[in-house]
Amino acid sequence: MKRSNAFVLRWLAIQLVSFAAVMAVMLAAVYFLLAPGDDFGGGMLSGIQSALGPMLALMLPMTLITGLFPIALSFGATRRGFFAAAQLVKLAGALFLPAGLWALNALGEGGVGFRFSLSLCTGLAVACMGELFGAICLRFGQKAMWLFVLLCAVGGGVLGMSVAMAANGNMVLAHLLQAILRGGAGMAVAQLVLGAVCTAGSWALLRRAEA
Amino acid sequence: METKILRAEALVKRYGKKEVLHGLDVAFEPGHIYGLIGRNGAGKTTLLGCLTGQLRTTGGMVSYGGAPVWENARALGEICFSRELSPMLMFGQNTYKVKEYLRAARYYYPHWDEEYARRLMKEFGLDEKKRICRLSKGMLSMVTIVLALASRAPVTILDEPVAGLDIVARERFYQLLLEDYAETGRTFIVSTHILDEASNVFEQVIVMDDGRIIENAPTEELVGQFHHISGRADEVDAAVAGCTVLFCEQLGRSKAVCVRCNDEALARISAHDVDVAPMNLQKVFVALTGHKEEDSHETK
Amino acid sequence: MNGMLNEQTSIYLQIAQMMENDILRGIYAEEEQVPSTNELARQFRINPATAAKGVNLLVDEGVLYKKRGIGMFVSAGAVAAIREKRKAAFYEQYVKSLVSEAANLQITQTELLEMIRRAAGAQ
Repeated sequence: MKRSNAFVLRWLAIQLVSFAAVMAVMLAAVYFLLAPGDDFGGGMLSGIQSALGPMLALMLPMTLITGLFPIALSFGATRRGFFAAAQLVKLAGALFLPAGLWALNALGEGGVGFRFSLSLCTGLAVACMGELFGAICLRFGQKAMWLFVLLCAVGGGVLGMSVAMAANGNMVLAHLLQAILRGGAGMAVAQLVLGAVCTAGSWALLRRAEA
Repeated sequence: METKILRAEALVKRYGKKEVLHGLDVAFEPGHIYGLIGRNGAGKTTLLGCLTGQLRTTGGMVSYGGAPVWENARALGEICFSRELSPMLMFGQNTYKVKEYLRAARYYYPHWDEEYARRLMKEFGLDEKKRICRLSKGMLSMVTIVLALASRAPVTILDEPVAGLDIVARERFYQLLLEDYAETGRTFIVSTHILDEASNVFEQVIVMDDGRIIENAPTEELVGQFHHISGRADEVDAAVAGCTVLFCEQLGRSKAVCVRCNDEALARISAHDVDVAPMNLQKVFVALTGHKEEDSHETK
Repeated sequence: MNGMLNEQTSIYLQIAQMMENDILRGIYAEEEQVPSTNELARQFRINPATAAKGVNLLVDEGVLYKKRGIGMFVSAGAVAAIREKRKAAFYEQYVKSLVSEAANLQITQTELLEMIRRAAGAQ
């Protein structure tokens, strides 16, 4: 157990650091290239920030499974141990969602009602889906990969459109998030259940994975 | 001194409907260099994958020191399975840099010797900043070797370590292997289908063919049972009557056969006017696995 | 011990033989240390167990003896012992095959003895 923990956490730290660096560069670029107070720039920024939370919550666990798990397995990691470490990664990924929203709030954009616990539930649900995606890709290989690429294209298109719309004042993504978060306790529970189901699915796929 | 034996009992492995390992029994005792030899597709890598808990077994059991290997962190920390790296894997190690790959290994092998790894990389001229998917065949083999040797794992398994190496590099590998063995006395299992220099290094050899283990014996003992008999066809036939003949080649009136027999039978054969020559591991291997059923027969 | 291994006989027998040859040639004098099994294994690229088998053969015959913690040494009287052993084997190893090959080539006994005298004279 301990071996996977150390290995995974180091990877996580590297991912977060590189992400932070990329974010800093991107934000700096946007802020300095666009005149402050510029509606277009400001809108785009919030659009990006709304999209980033869910995207990272999805990608972080997914890349852990597809990128790190096979290597760990070839080095003699136990599937149990690695999966346990993966849960920490999901938590970290899930935190991006409330973190993103907090950033939005702090910048005074979007006016989205921010409630930590509810947005965390959303983050967890998305992270569990990411983990499941990764497990599916590993197990079913090429076909699943292409399906995922397709989904990414569609999802990317939708996200891109939302960002563009946000730039034009139409905060559709932020409103969507708002709707989810306004769903209250019922919505939170539903998301947690979804997360649990996805996690069970991931474990079912990974516990008998072969190197 | 612990005696942890890596053992497979009645090991069966099926992929869907296809059975690739048919009830294998094998035990690896600590402190020896084993050679696992077989043709491509014989099931060597599958066997090794099952022995190291990386592949699920369909039937039978794999244990290390008495405890099952599957999902057993303690056992797996003592076993290093260095498999052939492929530059074309979709998920996994191919996008890694050599440096990152070996750094990852450190987390899983408690006996990892970093200084040794560096020395080996320097000797092989491995550029650690290169990505694995961009390495040449020879370099890929070298990464496998560095991983296996530097792991200092009590049981170290190398799957086709010399596949991409030229003869000079192969000789160097065997030299390094023997040096490491002399120093640490750990168990090595080397799976290969290239046999020329390997045969002197393996203390025990396990021959696989079509998902079965057909021979498991000390190398010299096995090779000593086979002899190449040649001469005039009728003399040869008379000499080898009653022995197990593995193949025969006839050219005009001259005939050459390969027999498997004990010393007593050999003495009888030598009494005839035939040439008796010893075989080497490579020739024995070809005799055992290279010829189909029709060629081998028992002469009356 | 700088010979090369061939595939004609078991490796351990060749190791033992090479060491005997070296003792006869005076490369290793009596009471002198001989290479360790690890050194032999390294030099000939063979498994140390095989090298050990060859060395143990000589120990069993009394040609070598072991000094605990130091290594293997040539026994006193080893040279004479090796010569005796080889003399005894001479008939089986050389003479018999000489006679049978001569018979194959239809060389008469007289011719054979003449050849032997000639070769001995040239020595």
